[in-house]
Amino acid sequence: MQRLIELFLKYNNFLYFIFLQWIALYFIFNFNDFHKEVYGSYRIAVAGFFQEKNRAIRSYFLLVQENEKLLQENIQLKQQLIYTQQALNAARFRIPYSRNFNLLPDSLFPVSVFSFVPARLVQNSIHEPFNFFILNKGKQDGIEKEMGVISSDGVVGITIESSENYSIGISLLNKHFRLSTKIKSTNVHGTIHWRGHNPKIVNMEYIPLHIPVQIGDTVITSSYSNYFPEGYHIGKIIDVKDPKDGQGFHEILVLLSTDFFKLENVYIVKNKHQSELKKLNQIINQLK
Amino acid sequence: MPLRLIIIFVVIIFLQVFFFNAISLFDMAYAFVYVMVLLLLPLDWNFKILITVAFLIGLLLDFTNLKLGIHAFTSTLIVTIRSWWIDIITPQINPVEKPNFKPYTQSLSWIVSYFTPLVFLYALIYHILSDLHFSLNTFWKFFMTGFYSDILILIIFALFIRTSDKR
Repeated sequence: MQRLIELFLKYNNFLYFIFLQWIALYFIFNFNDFHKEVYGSYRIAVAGFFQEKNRAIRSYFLLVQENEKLLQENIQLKQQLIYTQQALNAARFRIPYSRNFNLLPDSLFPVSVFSFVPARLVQNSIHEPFNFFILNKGKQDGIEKEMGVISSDGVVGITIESSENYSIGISLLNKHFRLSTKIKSTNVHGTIHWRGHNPKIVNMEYIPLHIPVQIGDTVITSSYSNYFPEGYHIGKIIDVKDPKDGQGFHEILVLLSTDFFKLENVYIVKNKHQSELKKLNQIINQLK
Repeated sequence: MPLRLIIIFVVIIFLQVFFFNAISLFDMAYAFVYVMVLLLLPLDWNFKILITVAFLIGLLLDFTNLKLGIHAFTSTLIVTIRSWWIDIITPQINPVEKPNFKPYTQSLSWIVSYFTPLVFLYALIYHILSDLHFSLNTFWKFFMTGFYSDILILIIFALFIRTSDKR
């Protein structure tokens, strides 16, 4: 306080000068219409600038919450979409001549067996021949092995092991990974397989030569896969060649819709009937 | 300060309000003759009294010009700056003798070097504050006002103040 008084006494002339100038400026900007108007518009512009910056800073700190909220919304929308697709397919299949699906009873529509858990990749390799990833969700979140992993763009892989808080997944970019798929336009089933070259392109195998395949056709997950809902995006056909080894299948190259270079947020797909299907598969294997 | 000088100053301020304010050229060049009064105020006055007098003279002109605050701001600033300017153009003055230094007793060439930059500075600050920006038009107004005011001030100084001091 003493120091403050000393400073005040030392610079009292300067402070008095500032005081008079402040009074003059007060008169200028409060008693002259032109200056008042200009000051008003500057004040709004300055206040707007600072409010904008303030809002930007606040939204930056709220990004994590916003992201979480969007992920939850995405899950709900995905479930709705899958349910609607399944309902539509069921209705078409069961009552092909009905023109008004809205009049069909609810009992005809199947209940979706898939649910989703948002997760984040904490590790992901793409340059090895056998690539894997680690997710930040584990047994505590109900994640087990053999669950599908998708991004908002397409298929990512399948979980193969889980600890309490983390899970390991085999990437679609793994030479051991194979997935049952189909061409959307023709409904012809095949298998997706990465041969370890370009991380953006995979091969679609086992499409017979007599089936016409168009460049640009969409490849989606098939109903044969227990890990993914039917009809989920995998990629687009970018090249179709005749087989070199004389086999009766097309050589099809598919450009993946998932960009593994930028992958961060994913969804783990839970199939409610997974254990049931597994048991049935075991019976089939025993019969073989 | 001699009484005669005080009377001249009062007359100049009176003329500024009733005459010089009315004789602007093309609404571009204003005659700010009263700046001479600010520049000739005694150096031995207490700083606070000095800037208060300058502020009040400026405010008086503001009331008559209907542009409240602009002359008051500029007058206070110019009176504050003038002491530093004297130090620059007259380095030989002893700081102890400086309060007794009387600008109106100096040579005409010194007066020109003292008045001209400060009158132009006054015109510049006044027009920037009036327009609240600096454009080519502002530049012309500043230049013409500075030139016009400076010429009038030097004439009045040479005719009435410097000669009267010699007597």
